[in-house]
Amino acid sequence: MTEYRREGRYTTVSIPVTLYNRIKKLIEGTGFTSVSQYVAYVLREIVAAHEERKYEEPFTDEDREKILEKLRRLGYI
Amino acid sequence: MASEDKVRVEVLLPKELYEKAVERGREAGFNSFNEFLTFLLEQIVEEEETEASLSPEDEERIKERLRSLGYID
Amino acid sequence: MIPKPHGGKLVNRVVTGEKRDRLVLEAEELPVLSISYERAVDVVDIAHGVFSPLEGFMVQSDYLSVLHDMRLSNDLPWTIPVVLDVDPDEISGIKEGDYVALKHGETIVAVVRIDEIYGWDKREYAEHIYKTLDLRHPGVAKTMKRKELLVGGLVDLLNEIEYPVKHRVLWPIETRVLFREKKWERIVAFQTRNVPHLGHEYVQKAALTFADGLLIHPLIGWKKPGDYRDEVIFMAYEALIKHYYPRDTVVLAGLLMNMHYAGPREAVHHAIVRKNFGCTHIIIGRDHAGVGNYYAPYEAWTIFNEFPDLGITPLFIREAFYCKKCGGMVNEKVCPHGEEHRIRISGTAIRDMLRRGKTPPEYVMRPEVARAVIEAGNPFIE
Ligand SMILES: [Zn+2]
Repeated sequence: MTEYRREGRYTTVSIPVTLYNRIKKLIEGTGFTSVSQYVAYVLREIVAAHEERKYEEPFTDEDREKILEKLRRLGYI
Repeated sequence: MASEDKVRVEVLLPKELYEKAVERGREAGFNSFNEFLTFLLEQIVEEEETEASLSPEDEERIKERLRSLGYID
Repeated sequence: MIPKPHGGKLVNRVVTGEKRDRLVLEAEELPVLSISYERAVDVVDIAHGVFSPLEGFMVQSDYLSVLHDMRLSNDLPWTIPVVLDVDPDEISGIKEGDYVALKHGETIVAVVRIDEIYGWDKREYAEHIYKTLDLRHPGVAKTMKRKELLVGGLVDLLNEIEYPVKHRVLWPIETRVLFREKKWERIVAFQTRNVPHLGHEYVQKAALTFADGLLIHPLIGWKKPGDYRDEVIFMAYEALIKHYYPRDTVVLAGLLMNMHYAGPREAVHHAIVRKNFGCTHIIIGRDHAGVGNYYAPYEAWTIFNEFPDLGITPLFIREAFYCKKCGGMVNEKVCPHGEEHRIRISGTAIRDMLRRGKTPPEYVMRPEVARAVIEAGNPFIE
């Protein structure tokens, strides 16, 4: 496991020691086992929420008509 | 406090997550990622702390009342 | 709001038209790897976007990252490796960058571009994915029998494979069109391998009370003796839906996908896959995709705490039972009565009754459902 981690898949950032200590206190008795883990959790939440912006389905009107035709034939609509 | 804040501690982040977050910070108008990260964490920690801001004495007093009223065992 | 596919892009590796004609010809000249039915199912799932954003079998960095961190190397949640195993003999002379044809039976299913050939530690795999090395675990037994090397690489599907109830299978792009057409925004997925008893109906309806629609999504396509036949699961659900669900609240469609019995990891996998189908929620059982006693109670629920970025919401609905005092189907959370008032529904007992052609009591199974199963002749795989 440690060997696997060393493959350069991680990067270090730094935060003020006071903030670090506050987080450490905050996560006591929770499922988080390290400040790093907590910070990753927070960032993943932020990044994911942001990426959930408008998304265009990848089908053309023609594709869509074809699929609707099949769905109609199968009785789904 | 301010001088203490110059002391920094390293945390480990998966590289890919770091890169996505850097992008997010840039979009949000931050010049440096550390600045963005600190801002973000301070906000969140602030919120969480207010939620848990009861002193142990206050908490015990409230529990005592709840106990006497039969809400908890 | 129908969620984005996992990773933001719905994968389509099904080759059609002239490109397919060309690749089919080219494939005849390529080295051939024979693949099992299960690997062929993986290929089909990759090609139709069920495993979006995967476009092929995993390369080593993704494989290891999934194994150790439950994420792809780009940090996206992913819990079950999708890997192609090969014998060293089979690929002697083949190098990275080459194309090979994947053959199942007599059919060339796909062409794969070999991006990487690497070794794997099957025991390490079993320990991480199944949390045991016990060969009595069906997943472990299967893993140990797999070949010694893995190859990662992009897949192009040339020919579909055969599988049961083909006309009842919808792919992610199709359910996405369907949900839009129905104007559903909150869509709950229900994973199953069973004919429905009242417990299942209760759980589904509990979810439906706040959702627009329900996707009943039986896994189909494998042949474990003693399981219900795929056709029978469909007939049973059709009877249930016809008699007990309001119009336009349910879509019943099959999902051709392998089952691993990987418990908590597989629960997350099921969630990711249903997100690709356009679902916003998925019902997760207490012992979802579990087998024996390999996983702790509620482990299939707590694992979701590690994924704030999943993009689909798990619904942890407790198992239902009949309570004589309450006079209906209830669960631990809503019934205060003791065990002596409760009638737990046992899947095994239901199977035994149906096998003997007997209709289970009405508080266990809807008579219409029981009738559909019994009239199907032998409802089980021999
Ligand atoms: Zn009761």
